Amino acid sequence: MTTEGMHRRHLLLHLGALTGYLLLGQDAEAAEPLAVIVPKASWLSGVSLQELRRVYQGELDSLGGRRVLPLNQPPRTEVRERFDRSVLKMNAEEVARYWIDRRIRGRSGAPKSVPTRLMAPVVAKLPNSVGYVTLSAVNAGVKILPVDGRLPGEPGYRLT
Amino acid sequence: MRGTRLALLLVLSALVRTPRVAAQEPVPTPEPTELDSAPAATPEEPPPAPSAPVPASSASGAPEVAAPAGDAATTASAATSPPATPTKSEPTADSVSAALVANEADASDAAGDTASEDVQAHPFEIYGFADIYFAAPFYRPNSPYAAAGLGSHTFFSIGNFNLYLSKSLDESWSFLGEVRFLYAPNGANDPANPGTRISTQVGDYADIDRPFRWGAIEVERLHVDYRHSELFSLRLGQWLTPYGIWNIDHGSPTVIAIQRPYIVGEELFPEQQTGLQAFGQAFAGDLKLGYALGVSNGRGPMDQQRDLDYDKAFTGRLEAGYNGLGDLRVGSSYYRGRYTNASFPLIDASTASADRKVLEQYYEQSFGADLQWDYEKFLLRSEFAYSERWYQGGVRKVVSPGQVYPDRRRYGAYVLAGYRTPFFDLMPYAILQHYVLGHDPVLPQLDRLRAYHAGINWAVTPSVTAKGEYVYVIFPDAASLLTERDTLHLVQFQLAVAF
Repeated sequence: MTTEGMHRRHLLLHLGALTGYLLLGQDAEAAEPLAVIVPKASWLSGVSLQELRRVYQGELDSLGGRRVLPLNQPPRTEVRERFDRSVLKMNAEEVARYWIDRRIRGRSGAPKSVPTRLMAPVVAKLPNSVGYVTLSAVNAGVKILPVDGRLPGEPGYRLT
Repeated sequence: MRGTRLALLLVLSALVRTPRVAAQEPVPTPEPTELDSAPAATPEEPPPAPSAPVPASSASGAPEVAAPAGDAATTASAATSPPATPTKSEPTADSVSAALVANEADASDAAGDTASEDVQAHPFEIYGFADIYFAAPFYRPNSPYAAAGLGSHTFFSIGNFNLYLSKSLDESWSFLGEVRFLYAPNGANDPANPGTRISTQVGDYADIDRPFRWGAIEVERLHVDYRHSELFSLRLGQWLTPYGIWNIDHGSPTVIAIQRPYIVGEELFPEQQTGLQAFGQAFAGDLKLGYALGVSNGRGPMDQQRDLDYDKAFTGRLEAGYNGLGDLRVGSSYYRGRYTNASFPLIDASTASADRKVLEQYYEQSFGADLQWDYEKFLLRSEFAYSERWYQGGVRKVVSPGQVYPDRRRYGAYVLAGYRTPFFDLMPYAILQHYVLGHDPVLPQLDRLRAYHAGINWAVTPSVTAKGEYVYVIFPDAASLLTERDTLHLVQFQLAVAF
């Protein structure tokens, strides 16, 4: 596939996701779905919710056979709390306790946080990174990863 | 609302057909993008979520970025205010990326010249935990229990004060050290002179020799890890023996109850070992499989520094996890080693040799199994451990003239169940323990015990945990030592903080 073709494919992916969100019964006033993003040139083409949970809990540090660098939204932001709730199944206090416990056990600490406005640009710059943003914050330097084979806005998509 | 959506779709459709325009910042080899000319914001576009910061890449709310992939941060900076000369308080994608890649060799090309600064900007992480303890034992003042370390009076105590020092050296290498600060040995029973308390009181040379008591530092663990892959990592140094639940959970803010279960506290497995450990894990759907294999000095009087025999100890662990029904984990561990205590070699000039005397030597092996299940707010922990030692051709330790240590077999188990209520994050819990001491030559009357605990663990904040617990211990076959009045009742409290 040519570079142009790849870019068109990414574009269509973004547009498809947003179109699905707009047309498939989601109320525009409701929170935008979250999109899991990786750099446009990433080797990843999808991720399962289970893998995502393990990566963001520090249990798994590679996807598709290569190391990944998970990036978090800042604590106490709406996007972060929604992600923690839908992926980690924890509230903010439980997440904080989880990482304290984990560090006392001598294991790795929490993923680094990136300011919300910089998440997509930073993910675009780091070849092995993975992050998440609201759908409208997706930029052309990144691509959206289907989660369990579903894109944001599609029925059954679980990052709400 | 439908009209808004259709308007958005029209804008997006137009976007596809719009010819690309130059990026805001000229780049030598512009990478073509499909979305590199974002339209001006339209009134129909949905605003960003009010509580979240406005995404720099799309203040209008539409998915866009004008810059090529390698320059996204520049675009992001340009889209925010102030647009130029970022300050310390206004991080940019470049500075954040560089900070993040300080430990990510794969992305070092993105770090540029600032990576070295960021390495310096991320020194050792220092954190830790501490706890303060209060106990009210209920037994007669001269009960044999008073010799078990609790005394017979109510008391406050500083329990643990542990500091961690850790650093990721790069994407494969990391370091972790943990030290505990102690008041001991002050106040401890002097083994060289039983019945006498050790005093560490000395004059303070910085304060005209006014008295103070010094304490000790215990190195809990210190190891360097090398990660090759998810399946294979190496750990060299002094590490916590990978067995069970409690020995790894380890810290007072993390463990649910106040004191370690008997099978953990009595070290049926060694708590730490010094040597080399390989470990790894693999995932398949909801399943997780993990292993650890270690070779070490084993147990000894100075096993962090020396092995006083040629036998290296072996440790193995297998564990499996299943996430389909909460978080379920089962594991099994094994340890085998030889303990040797020997005198310091002394030079004998007449024979040109340095001989030592073996004071005690035995083989030991331990087996354990554990189960951990977290289902929503309910949790269950259980461990079983078995340990035996035998003096096969070895030298037995002398208990008293004419009496030596026998071979010994110890085993036991505990079950802990708890439920984290929504009410102030309180977690009532209960523990049942059974422990067989074997033939302890010092207190042969105490062959086995059962302990019952009922307590409350209160997660005051993620960093502060308060615990209160009632403990009831009975020694069923100890009538010759303990009277009916010597049932052990204990009320204890602990405040644990992580920092």
